[in-house]
Amino acid sequence: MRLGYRHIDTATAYFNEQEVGRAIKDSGIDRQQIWVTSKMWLQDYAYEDAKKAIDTSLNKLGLDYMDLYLLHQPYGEVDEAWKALEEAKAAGKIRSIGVSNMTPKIWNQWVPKFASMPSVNQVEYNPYFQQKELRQILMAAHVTLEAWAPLGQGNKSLFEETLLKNLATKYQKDIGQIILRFEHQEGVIVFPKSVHESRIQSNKDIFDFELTSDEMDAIRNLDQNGKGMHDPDAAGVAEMLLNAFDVHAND
Amino acid sequence: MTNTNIPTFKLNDGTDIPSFGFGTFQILLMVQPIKRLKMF
Ligand SMILES: NC(=O)c1ccc[n+]([C@@H]2O[C@H](COP(=O)([O-])OP(=O)(O)OC[C@H]3O[C@@H](n4cnc5c(N)ncnc54)[C@H](OP(=O)(O)O)[C@@H]3O)[C@@H](O)[C@H]2O)c1
Repeated sequence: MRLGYRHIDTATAYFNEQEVGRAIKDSGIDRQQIWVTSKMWLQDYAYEDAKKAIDTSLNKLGLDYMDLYLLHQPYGEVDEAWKALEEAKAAGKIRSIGVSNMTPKIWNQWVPKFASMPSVNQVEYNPYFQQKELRQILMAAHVTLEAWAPLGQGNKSLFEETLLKNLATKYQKDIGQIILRFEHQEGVIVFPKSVHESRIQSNKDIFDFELTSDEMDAIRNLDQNGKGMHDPDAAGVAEMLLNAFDVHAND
Repeated sequence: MTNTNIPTFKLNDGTDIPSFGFGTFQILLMVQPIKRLKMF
């Protein structure tokens, strides 16, 4: 917050909503100037549990509204949880609602059943995994893509790409800034994570230069047209996530 | 110098979202959340 960040991405499953809430309070910055995203974990998707989960997130964050609330994983009673999100939005508890980890297949399975269109789909996205098919679907529905792992979680080979190195030299930026600037120009929302103050500072310093359309095309060609690190369509993912932990174990 | 002039994108519900932010996901917390938290 001290370095100028005003948009924070958290989740029930990160076990840090309380800390995020405390940071917001301690910053002394007006609530209206801060964007807070959190996410519901899939164990809470049954309608009554979902309603409770929204209030639990609000309580932990110490807020009376969240700017964006997502269904973190697209499995289980997704339609019931979505209904709870729509109602919480109407009640003023959440400003915008969305989904996460929806592949084209999962999107087409659920979204046609929703009464309202999600505002965002937060998925894995970086120059190696550009989600070209999904982006077409989202663009047609006016849905914004949010990138998780915008830096490929620090993927070494991505940071060693000659193209990116050359652009970094040209613009006197670092590789992380070139990647994040590319994503920004693609219309993708990014929220890189770092525990290092110098990176937290530099990652944000991407609004004073612009990649040319040829350079954008060249980075588009780094796409590996494959699966990312996490494949939401893979068999067994829902069970694996559901059995990984209990987000309310310490409530 | 702190520059908070982060551009916004307009969502399909008309809301303006800052196009850049901070992620708080920690892999260690994801892998062993309960074990870690139960220690305290
Ligand atoms: N919806 C979902 O299912 C989902 C899944 C994953 C993540 N997310 C969200 O998306 C956010 C971002 O994704 P992420 O944290 O997985 O990955 P990321 O932001 O792509 O990468 C973070 C990693 O890159 C390193 N890094 C940061 N800045 C760097 C730089 N300038 N140069 C080189 N390395 C750098 C960090 O190391 P240091 O910390 O050591 O600097 C960290 O290991 C998360 O924090 C979370 O809020 C959502």
